[in-house]
Amino acid sequence: MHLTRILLLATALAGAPAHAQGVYQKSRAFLDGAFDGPVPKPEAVWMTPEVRGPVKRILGHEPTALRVRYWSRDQRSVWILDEIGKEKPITVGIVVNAGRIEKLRVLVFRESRGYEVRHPFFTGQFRRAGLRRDLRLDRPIDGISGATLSVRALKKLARLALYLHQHTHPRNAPR
Amino acid sequence: MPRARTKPRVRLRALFVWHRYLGLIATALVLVLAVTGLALNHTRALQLDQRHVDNKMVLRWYGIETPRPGRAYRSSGHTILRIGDGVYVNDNKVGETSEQLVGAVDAGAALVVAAAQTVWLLTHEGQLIERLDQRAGIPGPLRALGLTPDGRAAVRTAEGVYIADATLLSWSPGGGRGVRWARAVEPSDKLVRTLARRRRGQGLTAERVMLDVHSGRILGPWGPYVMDGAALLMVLLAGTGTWMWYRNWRGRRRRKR
Repeated sequence: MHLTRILLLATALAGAPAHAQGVYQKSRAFLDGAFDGPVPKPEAVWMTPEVRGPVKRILGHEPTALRVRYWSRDQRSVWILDEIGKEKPITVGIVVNAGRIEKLRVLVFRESRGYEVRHPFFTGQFRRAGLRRDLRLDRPIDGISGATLSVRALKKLARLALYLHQHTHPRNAPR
Repeated sequence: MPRARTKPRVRLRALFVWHRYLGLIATALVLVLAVTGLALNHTRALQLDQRHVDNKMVLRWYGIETPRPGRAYRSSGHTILRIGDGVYVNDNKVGETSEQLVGAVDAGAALVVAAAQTVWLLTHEGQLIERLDQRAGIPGPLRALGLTPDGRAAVRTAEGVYIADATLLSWSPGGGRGVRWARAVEPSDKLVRTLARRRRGQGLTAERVMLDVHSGRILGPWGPYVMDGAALLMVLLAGTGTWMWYRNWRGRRRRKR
């Protein structure tokens, strides 16, 4: 399994452009692909004291905004979140379904290094990931050498999306 | 015999003269190296990495110009403007953008500030509620921001007018009739001076300047060679000083015998 990942990484890097910053998918397109039918109206989670504490624990810093926007229908919610990798924010789209990540995709990457995290061989690791009671992911995510900060940012956003999904869909919280 | 005795004395004297003049030449550079080196050794205690340089001469040397303010708007007693990359509500920085502001309005639930591709929703105390971009469903670029007759925020885009709901979560296409579009104003000189002074030095820390002085880079591409020269001079001084000490010591030993 590791050998496969290494080979895939080597192949991906061999063809990688020198500057891989860019918009890989527009938010609207990500939302359209996440729902069958029209995209529901957006809702918001406010950073009340109850929510702020766990969010700060996940991110390692205070949340930058007072509310977080999301879209939801039934047990599926979609989050488009930003977190700084090294110096610039990475925009990530995350679909959570019944308390587990269904899809995670890098939408916009602004750094000059660490862009390998956008590839499916890395983001695919988050599929079916859930959140433990201690706010950690319930499975290990293999890092990428040279992209530590980008990997860390994506892991934080995955945890954040899962936590906020649980907060807005209490039925999906771990028992 | 007298000839053999004068030769070492002449050499020693010549060495002494060289040592003196090399020392004089090196003094200024050595002082600079020593003082900056001492300071850099205590960067944290002196908070050199957190102090920003505000001296006009130094900033000019680094090519850092005083940023000019972009368009300014007034809403509910607040002045909203951009200086450099910073977006300010009065003297409180609320965001960053390189885009021109297109308006600022009070939509009741929030103060709304818009640039070409970004909208900031702020509390009246200047706290960020949310930063909107195209994920909020507003097609950019934005050209103007205003208020509808019933007090809802509206933006004008190339694809028409979009109006926000009361919670500022959803933006839907609507007519522009009756919308009062925000108009740019002249910000006060005092505010501009305060913010410009603040912005001007933000990119340049005292630590950066110290490092550049210590390495000689502050003098440009040839600066490091000047400091290399100072280092070589110090090596020569150490060499000549040690040699002179040794010659004197040897001489004293011989005289004792």
